[in-house]
Amino acid sequence: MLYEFALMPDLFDSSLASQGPAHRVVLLELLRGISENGLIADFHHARLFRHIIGQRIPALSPALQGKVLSYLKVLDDRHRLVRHPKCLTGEPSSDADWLQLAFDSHDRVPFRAIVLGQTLMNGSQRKCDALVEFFGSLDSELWSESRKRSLSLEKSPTAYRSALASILRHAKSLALVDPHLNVQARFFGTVAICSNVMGQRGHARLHGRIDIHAEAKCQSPDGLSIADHLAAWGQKLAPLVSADGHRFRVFLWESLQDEETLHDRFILTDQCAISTPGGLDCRSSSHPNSTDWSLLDEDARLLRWDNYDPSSSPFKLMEKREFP
Amino acid sequence: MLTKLIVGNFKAFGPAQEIPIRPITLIYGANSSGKSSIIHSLVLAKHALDTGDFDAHRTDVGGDSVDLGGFCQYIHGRDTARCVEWAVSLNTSRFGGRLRGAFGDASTISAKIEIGLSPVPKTELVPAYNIHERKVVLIPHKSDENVAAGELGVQTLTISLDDAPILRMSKRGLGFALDTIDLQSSAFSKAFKKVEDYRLAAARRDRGPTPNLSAVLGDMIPRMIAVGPGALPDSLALLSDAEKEAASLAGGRLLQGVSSSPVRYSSGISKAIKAKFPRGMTPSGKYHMVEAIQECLEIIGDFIAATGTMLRKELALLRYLGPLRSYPPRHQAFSPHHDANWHAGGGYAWDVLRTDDLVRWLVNKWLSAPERLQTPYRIALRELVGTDLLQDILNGWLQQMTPDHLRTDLASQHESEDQVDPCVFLDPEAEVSKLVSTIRTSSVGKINDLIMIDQRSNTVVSHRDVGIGISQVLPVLVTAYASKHELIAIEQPELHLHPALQADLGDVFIQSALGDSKNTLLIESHSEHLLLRIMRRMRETNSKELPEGVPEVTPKDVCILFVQPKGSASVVRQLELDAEGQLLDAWPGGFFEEGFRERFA
Repeated sequence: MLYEFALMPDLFDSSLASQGPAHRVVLLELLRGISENGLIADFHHARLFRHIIGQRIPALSPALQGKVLSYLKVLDDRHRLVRHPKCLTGEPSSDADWLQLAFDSHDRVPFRAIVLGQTLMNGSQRKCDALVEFFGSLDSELWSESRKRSLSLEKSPTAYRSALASILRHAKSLALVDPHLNVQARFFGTVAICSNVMGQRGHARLHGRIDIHAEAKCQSPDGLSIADHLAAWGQKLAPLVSADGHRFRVFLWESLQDEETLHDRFILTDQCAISTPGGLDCRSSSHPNSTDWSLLDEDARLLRWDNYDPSSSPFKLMEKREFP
Repeated sequence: MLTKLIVGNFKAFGPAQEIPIRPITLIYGANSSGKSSIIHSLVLAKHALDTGDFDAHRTDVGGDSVDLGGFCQYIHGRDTARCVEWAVSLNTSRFGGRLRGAFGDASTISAKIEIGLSPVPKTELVPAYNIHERKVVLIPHKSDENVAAGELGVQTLTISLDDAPILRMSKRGLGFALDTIDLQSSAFSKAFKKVEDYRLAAARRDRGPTPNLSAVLGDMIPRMIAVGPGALPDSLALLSDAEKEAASLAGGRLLQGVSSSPVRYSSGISKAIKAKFPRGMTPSGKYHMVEAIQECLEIIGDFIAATGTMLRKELALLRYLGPLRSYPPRHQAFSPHHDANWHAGGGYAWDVLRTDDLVRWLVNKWLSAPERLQTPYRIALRELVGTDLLQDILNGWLQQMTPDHLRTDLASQHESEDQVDPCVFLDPEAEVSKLVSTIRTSSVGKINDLIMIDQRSNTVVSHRDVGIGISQVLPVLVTAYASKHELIAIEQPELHLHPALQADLGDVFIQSALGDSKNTLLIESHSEHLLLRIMRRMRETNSKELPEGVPEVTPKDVCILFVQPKGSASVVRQLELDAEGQLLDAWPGGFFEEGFRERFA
């Protein structure tokens, strides 16, 4: 649902642009499509796009510059230009160096595609199925298969882990929203999977923030005070905190009378929002149900994010606790 | 250090808003969203706790920049039945001496006050039959319902340690009655244990029965009243039986003028304590028990007093710089005006520049550095001396003159014998320099005037001759550089400043908060450049690419708040940053265009 691409700097080069009007169409369509449900690797600690924006884009026509920059800003706003660590001792000095960095990252966690110009592709010694030539990229299967915005999956740990790995690989903040989320294994299993896969990008691990939004009255076991429920969350989360290094916040809500009720379920991150109407519970593999996840538009992501911010929420926050 | 502020029912804020405070706290929001209310609540609290004036319009700290308009104006929704909620949490790590002793092992202490009108029984006219006039008349009757119409001030005070409420008091007449107190909390239990060990051990040696100290203390709570001359109580007193009864008859309200002497008890109160003792206690046991109770009450009294001291001490650190900086006269040395605007308007900054060489050096560095303002100006001092005061010096200087100092080869040029030899110095420059040095080192009274030197032409100019942006930013720089361990609140520091330099202000604030000065900065701003620079320094800290001399910046050092309307009130959203200086929460309305450019600069 969220696919990572590597775009080589030669795509933004004026020499490629001079090959005809198709360059503009393909480049903008690639950027537009990726801004919907993709990520772009920013190699060498974000030096790649510093290089592209500072060195390559200024040589493009003013009209194309503006369009390209506006798409890059959208991607940046959505945290979709994802930083990869420095892997070279010096600075990359050629497009071949950047391609080598792409291969290094691809070997750790495969990209959906590495898009590059024909010249750079011809110059590469390495054969790699992920390499896609720029002008043919929109016709490539690697591109068309990446446009899916929904996913049907089993409600099993294996299926969840596989789906969440790509969604959470570069996420820095995650909000799991399900009124029924509680410390029982059926729900907590999903929390543990999220904690485990979040920030696992192949390089040094990212440590982020995981928010759990649940309804106070759905906490288990019945009869405990909210403070006790939060303490139970603390106990369950402690091993995840030490194992994965993320920071957790648990929010217990209740619906206000005559207001919107806590009902919908989401996986919200700083990069995307996924509607999970079937809930976030995770069945055992022997009795799996199936469910559908759908990627939401950015407007919906922002709206839902606001709904679970205590200052702007239509729900009443009963209590919140942070771990650690 | 201040770690949290809570503000409710104040100006734009309705329900209480929790405001985390970090070394650098940046407050954003649209115009009229209520972001100034955060800083103004601190200004009000300082003024009110210092002076007892809760109906403030203008304050010493706020000057012309803050006009609170009195309680009726600053209470949210103009609803005077409400109380302003205001609370601070402080990290106790810097406390020493008595404060550390009073708060035990707690790492944070919070004090929450509610400011409003004290409730008085509602008076309504009810019909009654007048037997003399033989008719029904309307007479005033005090109902059970209260209305907020009494004295304006602190109505409740709640003290919490590590977020657990320990003590709550509410205003009754001249004092504060203790509504709840957690005698088992660590603040009290350790100290009580010491008392118990010493005093009750002595009582037990008499082999008589000993009462449970906590139980006796618990029974005393309705008699406890906290009092003090200021807005907050600073000592504890006990009500005698008669006073307690009178208070009870007054519907729970303590009478005005109740005994307010610090805890050293009258015999009547001692009698009340002794009534709690078990039968068979020896006189010596009773003595030790009374002493134990008294010592425990003193501990509670110290705790209450320490809270007030702590609040006042923290607020004394507040330095406020308003959004409209004064434009001082050409020769400010001759027109000092230490009014309420002295600090709030930034006027004091010019004095600091005159008197503090280090701050002047730092500001000059900022003014001229190639990557900063790049102005050709340098601030310097010019010493002014009254001409009448120079007479003695000049006389003395002339008397030291000998023929060795003068040229004599001009004598042959005389056209007549009547002409006197002209006094022409052998080395005029050396003589002038000597004279200037003599004046400088003399005890003649001098006035230091601040001048700016245009280094291109080496001419003297005044701040009046240069752009207004410089005069507006100087108070910000001086406040940041000259303060140490203070709570600095600045509105619109970027006023009249070029966008590129607004980013550089970010570095000034980083230095002030995270360098040696260790100030706590509360900055209300519209400047995205300022924030972007701080985000960049976080990113550079994380990737170990910080420029030399810039302190490290981590997410724990910075708090970003966004104030926005919600319904009829304003709310405060906290937007978290990660170690790479990237926002974890969405910026309301989308992040700035400049953010993108700064990120890839």
